[in-house]
Amino acid sequence: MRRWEELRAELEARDVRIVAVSSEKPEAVRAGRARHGLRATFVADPKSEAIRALGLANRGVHSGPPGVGPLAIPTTVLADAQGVVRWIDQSESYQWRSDPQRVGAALEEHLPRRTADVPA
Amino acid sequence: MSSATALALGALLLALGSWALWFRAIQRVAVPRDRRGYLALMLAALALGIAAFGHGAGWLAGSAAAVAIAAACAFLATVAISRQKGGPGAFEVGRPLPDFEALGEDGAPFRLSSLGAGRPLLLKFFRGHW
Repeated sequence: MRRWEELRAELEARDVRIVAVSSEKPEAVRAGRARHGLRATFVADPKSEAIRALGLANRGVHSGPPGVGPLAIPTTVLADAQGVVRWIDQSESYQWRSDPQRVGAALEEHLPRRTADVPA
Repeated sequence: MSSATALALGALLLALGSWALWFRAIQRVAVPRDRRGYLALMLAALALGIAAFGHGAGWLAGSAAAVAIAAACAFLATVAISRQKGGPGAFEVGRPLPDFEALGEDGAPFRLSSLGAGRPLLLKFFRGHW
């Protein structure tokens, strides 16, 4: 998540809003965002209700702390300005993340830069 | 130095060194998708550790070999349970984003649709590892 700051210029050139959904409690989400200085809308789903409703709960060994519900399969979704899903990246392993190169390539492929930002 | 001690120290160095590299990759959020290199190193540590016992390791070399074997097995177990089971769920390319409810940073209810439309959106579901 924190490595997405490497994409700041690309995201701003496309006016992309970031929403990050964490399995942590709101206070932990607040602390994490402040610690890493991330600019995004952070959302907490500590009871896994959202990820269950969306079908993103890992049904394998969750490997989370004891007493915690299923954790989300690490998933990244890119939607255009009309709210239509353009790209989905999902990890086969919880150890993998959508790294900046993957997300950057998806931005390039699916979202045009704003006209004013396109080099002449 | 006996062959058992050399094997045990080699196993220990390999296992702990590989774990150190792994933790550094995690810290940098840069775990490679291809983990065969790490798996090969850990399997080599495991083999050396077992070989040390085969060469009659004493208590010191045996302890080092045991730690190496345990460290290598722990890594293999970590990789084995990391596989995720599920799918993209309600998300489908070409379809509208599904709405959902969660909690904002302040603990108040949050709905995705409350952000309104008109801007592209990058939505990230993560497990709490930043």
